[in-house]
Amino acid sequence: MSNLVEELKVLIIDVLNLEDVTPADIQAEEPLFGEGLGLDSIDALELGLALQKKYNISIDAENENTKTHFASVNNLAKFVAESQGV
Amino acid sequence: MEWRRWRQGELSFADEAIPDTGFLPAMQRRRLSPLAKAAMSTAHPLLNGRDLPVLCCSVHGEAKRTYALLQDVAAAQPLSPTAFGLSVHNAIVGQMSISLGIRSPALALAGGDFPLLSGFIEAAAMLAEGASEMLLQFYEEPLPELYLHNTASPQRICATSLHLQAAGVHATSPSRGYTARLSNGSPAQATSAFEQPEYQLPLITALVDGRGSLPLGQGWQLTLEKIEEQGGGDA
Repeated sequence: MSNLVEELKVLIIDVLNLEDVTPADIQAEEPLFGEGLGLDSIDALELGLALQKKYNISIDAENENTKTHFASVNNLAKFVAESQGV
Repeated sequence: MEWRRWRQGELSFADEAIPDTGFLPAMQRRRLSPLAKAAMSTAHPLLNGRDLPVLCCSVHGEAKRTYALLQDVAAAQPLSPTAFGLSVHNAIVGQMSISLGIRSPALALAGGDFPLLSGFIEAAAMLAEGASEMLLQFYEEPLPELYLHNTASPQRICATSLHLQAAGVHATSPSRGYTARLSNGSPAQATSAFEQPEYQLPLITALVDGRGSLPLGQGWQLTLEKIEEQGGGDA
């Protein structure tokens, strides 16, 4: 799981072009959107697409749980691990 | 000052120069293409925190971003939402209005074969309609190779910003800068500004020289003359 957390941090930095941010700067439990890292709605779409491409996960924007899955890197890691049946 | 040295042949263009946009927070910088960075870095010192109307002219705009999207479409790949949102022609001026806090009208023009002509005519109209000052920008980037067989492309990113004031609306005449006059009846006729793909360079040459007339296309010309005194200039 901790590998997946690190992998997701790198993915977030790469696909969202976070200049000057290193994986160590991203706290796995802090909010990704709004406060914390301060990502916005376009980032959410971009990140969803990247997860879809990399882990072959389909994300349902209408599903209430999606908001929880995207709340932090830890939650994303759990979501990815579950959808891959790990 | 570097332009003066360029004019004297002492400086040539550096291929990999990346414009400094350190005045923007990193989270705003990250979505800017090199073209958007060039446009914004020329606008920022002229706006100097002011909220002025902005007119951005670029024939091809973010051609590289659009081309990359089209390649994804052709390969039946999902499109990047960010690239999609930023591929529209007014994306750069939109980002600029957010980053630099512009609430005044912000307009994006393509300009067809005569971007300088379209830009200056539109700017003259905006000033005549009551804007007392404004920012006029021209920017282009090299086109992807696929397009080169039917259009010319600049070799490198070019961005020019001009701060324009309407004549006679200010209580005191400006003590520096240039006077600019548009006139029709120029004998020089080009079929397209892209006969010289770096179409902004004659404008810069006239500014560096302190005076000059440049054909804008379709018989129009722009005559620039430096206002004597302290020097400087707004371009």
